[in-house]
Amino acid sequence: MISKRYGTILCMLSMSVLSQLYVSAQGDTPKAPEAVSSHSVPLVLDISRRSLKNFLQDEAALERYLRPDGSLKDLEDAFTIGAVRGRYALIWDATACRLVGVVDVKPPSEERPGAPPGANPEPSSPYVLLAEGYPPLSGSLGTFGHPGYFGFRLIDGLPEFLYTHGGLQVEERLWLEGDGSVLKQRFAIRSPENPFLLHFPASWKQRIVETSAGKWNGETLSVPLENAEEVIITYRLADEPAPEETN
Amino acid sequence: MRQLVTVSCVLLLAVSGFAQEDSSQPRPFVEIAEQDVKPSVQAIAPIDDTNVFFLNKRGQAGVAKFSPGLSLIGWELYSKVKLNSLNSLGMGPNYSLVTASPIEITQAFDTAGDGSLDFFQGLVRDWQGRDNGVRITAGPVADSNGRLLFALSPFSIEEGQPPLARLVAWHPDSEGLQTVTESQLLISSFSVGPDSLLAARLSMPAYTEGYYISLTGLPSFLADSPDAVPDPLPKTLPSLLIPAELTGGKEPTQMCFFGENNQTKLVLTCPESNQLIEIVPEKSGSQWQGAILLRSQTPSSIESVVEMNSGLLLGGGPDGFFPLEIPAEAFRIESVNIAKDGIVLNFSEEVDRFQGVKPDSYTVKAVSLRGDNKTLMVEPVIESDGKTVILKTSEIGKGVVLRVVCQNLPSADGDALFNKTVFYTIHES
Repeated sequence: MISKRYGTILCMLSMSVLSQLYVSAQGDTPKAPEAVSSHSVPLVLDISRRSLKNFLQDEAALERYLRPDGSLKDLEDAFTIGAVRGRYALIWDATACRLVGVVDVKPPSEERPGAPPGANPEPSSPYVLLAEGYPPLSGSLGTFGHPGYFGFRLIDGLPEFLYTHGGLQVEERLWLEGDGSVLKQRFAIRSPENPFLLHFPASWKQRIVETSAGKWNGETLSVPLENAEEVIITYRLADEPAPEETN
Repeated sequence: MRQLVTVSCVLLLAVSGFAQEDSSQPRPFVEIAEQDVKPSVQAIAPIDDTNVFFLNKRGQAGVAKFSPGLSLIGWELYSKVKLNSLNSLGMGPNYSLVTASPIEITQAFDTAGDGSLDFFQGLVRDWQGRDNGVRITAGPVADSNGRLLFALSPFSIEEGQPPLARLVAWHPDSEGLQTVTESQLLISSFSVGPDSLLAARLSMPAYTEGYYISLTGLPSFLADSPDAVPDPLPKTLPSLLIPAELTGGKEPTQMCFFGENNQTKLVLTCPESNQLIEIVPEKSGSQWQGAILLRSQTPSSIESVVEMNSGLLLGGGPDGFFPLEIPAEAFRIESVNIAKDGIVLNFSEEVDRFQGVKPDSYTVKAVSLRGDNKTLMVEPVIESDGKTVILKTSEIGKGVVLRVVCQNLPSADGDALFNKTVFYTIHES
């Protein structure tokens, strides 16, 4: 039984999105998907571009989607990225040029095989990460205005989004590792002239387990100039199991 | 004010380190294997006589190889990325592909030269009204001048003006998008033929008795002044109405120009009724008119049709690719023309002379553009070749659509006629 919350997200993403993410191409792909790799290697990703209902909730994050008449635009320019048979879908939007959400698409009922029939699982948000505030580079020296999307490319099968934010030329690469529950986000500034800042919502910061460079000040990562051409953020998407009760 | 936007992405391309490097290295071929699985085809772009790029129903680009007779030899994906694409595909330099989603014209490159698309540039992402919901509704189509044409949903340039759909052109040397034509109706698909003749399908969902097609001569493009605005700007007005009875009541979707018997023709796909419609455009004064015929019934749904360099038509749909040849033995009306003394019908086979000379083997109606309906008296005359019938009448007027039904006309061999009903539009001027 899919909970109400998951019903909502199914509507938001639409069944077709989910099925395309997690069912390998049916009858229209000449080769079978490549095998899922071992832990430290990126997973084979399925990349789709599509229009999604706007699921953002934060006022500052929604600002980019406001029409002149005050109504909200959908995420018409979204990329959905997921590992074949994986559990998490990444949603990167080219209008805001940012990762706007990470969705856990596994219904909670599947997590609780022992639950009695008809039992309602605890409703919880399907969003492991949900964009809040302004884009992460906002506040860095050289940024102004809205980020502007240029395009994307595939680096060894991994999507790398290319955009400008003010005077910064940004490359943002996303991929999943392990069993698909480790998210890697790589930022690189082309020909950097200054250090830069990456600001994350508090809920995202809680899931960040590693950064390749920089120094934290609250939820802001300060990346020095010498590392501005590559900083990799590692997120743990799966919740840590609750500690077992001991007698 | 016709110049709608500044295409910032293009300028960015020139200065950005993002831009892919131009490779002079020889490209490897895409290795195509024989497949048991048929691709689901939504759009096709011919490469040469026997190779095409295509988009499948998931928005993935593929490449397919055919025999000279257009039997499929094999296919392979050119990209696994699923693009949110409209049903049109254009080819750019160095085997790049151009697609459109409602909010972007995308050019995809194989920068690594490994037979797989790996760089997807947002070529055009800015136009007037985009923030207010103006979307790309059709295209992209590359014309012979190196421009990319695409259609935008209706919008008003200035407050108080009626919203108009627009066909716009992007050119690498232009500072912005140029409006090519304007239309009161949304353009749902279009094709550009020889001599810059534009055929556009105009959407009018509330009208169910037929489907409007506009034929418009596009103004010439001056390469040394790519931002010049045509004056006057042509209007894309309805030229022909394809009656619903000819399409099985289903909408014609995609179209393409092709050449046959030294004539330029237009073929339209009706994927829901598996029918192909043929239009033979004819210019009369400043307007386009012409004949509309049922060309063939296809074995499967056809979403997209293209003319290969060899002149053969190739169709594609959910069940793969199909060569769209007409069976040589089919007894059909091949063309309809208007002469001074009547209506000229050309058949693919000799007609049954006994039936062919009887006036009651035919019903000819003239439906005026005002809606009046008149049955014309005709006197059939069979030419010496046995394949041409002239329905002599002096009653043909102007501003009418002629509906000709050959309800009782077998071939000389006794075969039934495939397409008994044809239409011909005659405008006032």
